[in-house]
Amino acid sequence: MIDSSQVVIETSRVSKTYRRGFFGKKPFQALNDVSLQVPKGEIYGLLGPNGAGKTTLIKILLGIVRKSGGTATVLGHAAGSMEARRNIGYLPENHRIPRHLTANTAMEYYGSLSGMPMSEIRAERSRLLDLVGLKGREKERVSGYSKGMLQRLGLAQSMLHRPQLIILDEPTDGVDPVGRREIRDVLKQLASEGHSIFLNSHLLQEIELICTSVAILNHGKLLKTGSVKDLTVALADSPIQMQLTGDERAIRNAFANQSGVIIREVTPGAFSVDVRVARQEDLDLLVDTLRSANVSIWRLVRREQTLEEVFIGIVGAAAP
Amino acid sequence: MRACFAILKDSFREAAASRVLSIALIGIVVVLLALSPLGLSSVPSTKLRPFELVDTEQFVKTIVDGKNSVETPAGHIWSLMNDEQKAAAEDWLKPNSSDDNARRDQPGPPRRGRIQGRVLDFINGLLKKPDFYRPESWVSIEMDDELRSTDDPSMAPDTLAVRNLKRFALAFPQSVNIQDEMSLSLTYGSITLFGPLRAPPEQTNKIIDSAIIAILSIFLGFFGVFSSLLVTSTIIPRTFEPGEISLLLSKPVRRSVLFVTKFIGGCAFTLLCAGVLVTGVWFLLWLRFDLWRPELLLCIPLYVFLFAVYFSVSAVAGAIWRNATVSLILVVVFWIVVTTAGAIHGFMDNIYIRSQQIVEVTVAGSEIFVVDGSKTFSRWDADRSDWSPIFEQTGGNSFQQAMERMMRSGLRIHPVASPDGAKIIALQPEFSRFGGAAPATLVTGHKENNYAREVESAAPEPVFGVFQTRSGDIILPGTRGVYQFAGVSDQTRKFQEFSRGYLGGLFSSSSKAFETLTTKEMETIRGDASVAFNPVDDSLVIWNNGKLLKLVRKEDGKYEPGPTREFEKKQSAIVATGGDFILCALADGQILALDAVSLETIAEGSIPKGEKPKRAELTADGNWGVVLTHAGNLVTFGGQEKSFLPWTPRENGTISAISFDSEGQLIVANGRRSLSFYQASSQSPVKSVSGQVTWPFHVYDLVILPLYKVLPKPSELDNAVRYLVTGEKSVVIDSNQGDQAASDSEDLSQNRVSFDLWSSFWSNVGFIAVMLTVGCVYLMRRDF
Repeated sequence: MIDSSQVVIETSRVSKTYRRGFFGKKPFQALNDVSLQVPKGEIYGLLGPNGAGKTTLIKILLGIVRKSGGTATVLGHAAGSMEARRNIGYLPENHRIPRHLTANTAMEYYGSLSGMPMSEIRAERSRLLDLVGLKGREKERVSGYSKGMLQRLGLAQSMLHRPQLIILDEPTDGVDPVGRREIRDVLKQLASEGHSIFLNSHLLQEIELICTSVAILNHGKLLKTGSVKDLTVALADSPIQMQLTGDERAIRNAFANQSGVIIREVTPGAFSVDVRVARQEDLDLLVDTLRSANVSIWRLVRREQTLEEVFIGIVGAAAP
Repeated sequence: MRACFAILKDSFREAAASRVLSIALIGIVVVLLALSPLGLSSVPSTKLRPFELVDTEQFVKTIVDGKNSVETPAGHIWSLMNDEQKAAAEDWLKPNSSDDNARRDQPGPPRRGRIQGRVLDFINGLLKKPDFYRPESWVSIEMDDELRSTDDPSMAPDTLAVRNLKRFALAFPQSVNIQDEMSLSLTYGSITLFGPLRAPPEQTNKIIDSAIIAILSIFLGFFGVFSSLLVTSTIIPRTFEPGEISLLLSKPVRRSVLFVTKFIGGCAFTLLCAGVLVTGVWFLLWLRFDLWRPELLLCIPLYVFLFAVYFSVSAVAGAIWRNATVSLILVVVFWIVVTTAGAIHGFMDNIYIRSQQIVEVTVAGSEIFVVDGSKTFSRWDADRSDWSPIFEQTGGNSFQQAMERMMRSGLRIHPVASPDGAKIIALQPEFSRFGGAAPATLVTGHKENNYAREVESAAPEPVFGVFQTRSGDIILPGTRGVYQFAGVSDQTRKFQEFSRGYLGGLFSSSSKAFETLTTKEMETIRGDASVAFNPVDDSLVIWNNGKLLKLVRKEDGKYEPGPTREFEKKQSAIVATGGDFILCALADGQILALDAVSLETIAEGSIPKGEKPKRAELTADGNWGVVLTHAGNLVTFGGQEKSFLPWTPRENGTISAISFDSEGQLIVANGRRSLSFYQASSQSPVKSVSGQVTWPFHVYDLVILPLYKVLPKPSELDNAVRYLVTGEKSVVIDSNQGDQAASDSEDLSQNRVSFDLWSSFWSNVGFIAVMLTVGCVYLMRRDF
């Protein structure tokens, strides 16, 4: 458990059931007893396949959707309350900024809605538009903006009132690789300044690159939470990669009893072997067998998992 | 609050960014620029206008009578006529062997108007001729030296016409009444479009008012509102699209505030359009017509309010379905529903309810007679506890009778009864089947015949009512004199019945049936005048366009002019007289209680603001007087207190008729088929009689009226515009002016429809509030 003063988002057994059908008689459970703690000052990723309930959870935190059960607090206030929303910056997925606005007037509009005085908005907006790469385009109507430019503008407005918590739903959607890198840099800078960021993205590599912690959601259930480092650390059953030199027949004989082994001849007499050996005793025995067959072991390494592998592993394991 | 301003500002931005707004604003500016050269210029009158030739017949008669005396203006003008004109003039005056009324009603357009037009053309043609003025012919006419001097031959035709018009008016004071020596011309820049206008200045203002109302109703009330709806129908659905609403709801703004502020902001479009158009019209009126009408600016919020009624439907539909097309369709459906409800209410109210409600009451002895809106006479039948129709119209089939009743709906019957109730007398409004109206027919009914209608004779000319003196004389004051009914023979009556039924009113008046009680010098009374009869001394009191005239009855039965009083305000009024008092209820709402002898003002009162007087009555002793407005409100005057009293009967606001009985009890009709009697001394109710009401009344009272009250009435906001522009809360619904003299003001006794401005305002406010509440509750409970 984290000290509550160090938590920006806390949910306890939050659930949401939608009613579907003409008379609302068909229930659909979008969230099921989700309990989560997001530490302050972190970039926290929320992962899950489509329909997992990620956006529903975010909307509950913002009060856009009413929860069916459980409790949720944001920055110490009830989720969705005016006090909570006052200190949240939000970039929704597929957001739409009114087409008659320019970047400047959009910033004025959203800044005013956040309660900022106009003088403050005007002082801040040029810095932020510069930061997201919209300098020089701020007087153009957003109807002429590309998807990426709209994402940048959405990100700028979410930061405008210097919120303690920024919730981003697919922030790099539609942004080119260079832009993505720039956005990642902005987020890292914000985190370094003490802002907390709650990030929902399909791009696991991106999450892995910038998030300190993640939560994995599937079918409305929270499957896993933890730091990226802990989740991707080498586990006992991680694949082992070996580089060997010696007689090919002796090598193949040594691995004869192992299933799923992949042996490739890299150069004449030199072989690369991928094998999954869970128990240390079995690995020791394998090394002894190779050595007794006069096979040289140049390299033996147990490989770390990518976040994607972890995600697929967790979600796949939870599949019904 | 900052958030609210931000949303409002965004709505303005959105409206400003709209192409439709730009097009609308450009269109409005173009219209205003196109109208800006319009103006009125005041120039000396060079032509005699129709309303100034107050008695065409008298004028022609004067000319024909003076044909042998060339030393008079009439003789000189006769000498200027060609043979055809002379023959036409003599032919028109030629008496008919059986009925001198025949000359008025000929097939084709009303001959009166046609002849007046020809006479006007002839006179106006003469006015520009140098030989019109012959000093020798005008010797007997009082004129100043300038007019009497001979005209310079080089004088411009218009200057000559101005001088000749003045001479002409001075020569024929009985027939010509020049109300204003200046006449107005409608100009467009330096070009004169129309002029001089045939209407007098005060009516010109009314025409301008009507034009303003029409412009505002068409451009703002219809095109403005619906184009605004077209543009703004997307605002709410777009706001609640998933991508936009999520962003907005993440801000510290309440959903209800967001919705209501977006709604208010949506009104920005109409505000801009209405603001530009109304301000432009206001400036034009000020700069070009010299009319300072700041109240016109109130039309801006009014039209925004009208738009808000429709937009509230659009907004709620947009929030629920998030589809602009659905919003627009529902607005159209809403418009159809409220229009249909209004039409059904209007149809029931005007066609059925008004036709059934009591509009005139007469009590004589134990008999109570009433006339309802369909001009059906009824008598109270105590045995049946209901009204029994009497005085049925004879002649013609039932369809013809129904049509005639409908056409007469705006005209008064003026029933009177003999003191014992054995005889009733009334005026049956008539109209020629060849077009136009004819003088009313005097009809009577006798108790022994179960009050069967007996046609006596057509009045000699348009009359203002029928009165019965204490001695039983039947007096009919008309536009050119006062007449006493002398009776007709049975043979004549039968002929007239035949004439009325089959010849469309031709030959229906007998020249012997009426005795003229005034001299030829009596001034002509305008058609919109009001006449009252004082049963104490048989005197007549006449309000004639700002002039109060008392006609006193001499011992020989003739009438002669008595005291007169000129009022500053040249307007219409309703008068009543009784005892020592005269009540004058003026069109502007002021009520004057005057001394019947000196005509001095004793007390001043007023009817509710914006309302118009409909009837005025005084008891015979003058102790109690009442003024009824077209909105059904009563103002009472106490003769003993010599002041206006704060008392009103419980039926106030729904009263459709008033009268006093011989005991001085006030009788009020409740707008349905019931009467209440109030005692004069205590003003407490004495008794009431209630006729049975038929099922349509119940349907109207229990279903249609409540529904109509609850539903918004956006279309009635046009009435508010009318009120703002004209200051009037009612408008004439029957324009059956009859054969009355040309009138440039209004006949207050005519049926009017009153606007219940506050009722429609509050129903609209209530509707907007309900719709916005529904929208807010829906949005607060909805997940996005």
